[in-house]
Amino acid sequence: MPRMAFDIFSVLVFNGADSIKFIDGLSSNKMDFENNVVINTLVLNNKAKILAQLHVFYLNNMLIAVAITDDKVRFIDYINNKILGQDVSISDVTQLNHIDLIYDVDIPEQQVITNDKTTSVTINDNYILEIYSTTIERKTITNNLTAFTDWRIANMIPWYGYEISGKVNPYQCGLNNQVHENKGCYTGQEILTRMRTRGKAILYLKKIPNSMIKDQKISSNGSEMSLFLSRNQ
Amino acid sequence: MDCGTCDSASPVVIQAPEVVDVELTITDNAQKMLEQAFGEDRSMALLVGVLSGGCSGYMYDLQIVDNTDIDCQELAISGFRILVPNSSSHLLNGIEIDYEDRLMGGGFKINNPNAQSSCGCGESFS
Repeated sequence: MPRMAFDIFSVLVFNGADSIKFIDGLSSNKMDFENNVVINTLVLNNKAKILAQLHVFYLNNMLIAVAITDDKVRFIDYINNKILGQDVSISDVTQLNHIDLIYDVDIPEQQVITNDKTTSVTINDNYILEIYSTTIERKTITNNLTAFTDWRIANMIPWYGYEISGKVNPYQCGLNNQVHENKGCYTGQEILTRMRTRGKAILYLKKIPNSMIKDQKISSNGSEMSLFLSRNQ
Repeated sequence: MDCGTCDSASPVVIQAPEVVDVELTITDNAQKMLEQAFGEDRSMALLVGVLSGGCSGYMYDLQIVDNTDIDCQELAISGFRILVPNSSSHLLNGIEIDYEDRLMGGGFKINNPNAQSSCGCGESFS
């Protein structure tokens, strides 16, 4: 059960009656919550480039968002400016928690499991984010980036700093499944809808054995396989 | 997970937007429509607000209200009570409220000198 620690994760707690409406208005996926469900969504800028990837869930009547961003300060500043008079307050509890990514593990049926000071959140049926208080001793981290990258390539998972960055939109990095095609207005939506309806500039994540690489522009290089983004479906 | 529900969490400081004294205008077409909507009763007010969201980041929000708990500036324009929330005053200063009488895409429109861009339907701006 390999365990990784990344510094790209932040944990934000949203309180207030307008919290769901607020995140829903800013992001690319619908906030249709059921019990113990994690909603994976994206906050985009007005050119549809990715500002942050959010994994949103409920815990003890609070809305929690695990944010993955290459610039947390810029992202918090962005959402801060959008609150205006709405009943939303945000706490950044990143420093109070360890955030470990566990992969190559049996995925539980429930997407959110919590006990006293540990919350396990399943992302896309692929991996688990374990968030636990810093008052608990840190569990043993493997941090074998090569093994993680090989697993990620085998499971076709795009990642920040590789496929995903603030320079691409969701259709250019394999995050198509985090865009709800029937959702109404949110920042970046018009651009994504145009791309989809015209079938233009959409890139598809593909894996290729290293021995077969020719002129493909590789985004993640693994031991035996690699990932690249292709115009061909 | 430690949610910091007691005293331990560091709240993200919400930037209080700058409050500006709003000036706005209402076109003749919009005034006619407001007269129809309000009738003789001018005790009601037109609340002109902004919400986050929409294709460009912010959305206009027009409501006819009796009163509101929102911290607002109250303007009297052409005999109408206009309420503008202080939290969005910096985005609404200088706007013109217009009405377009069209079968498609008609209705109240906001012409906003603060908007850098707006979406196709005109309801959202940044």
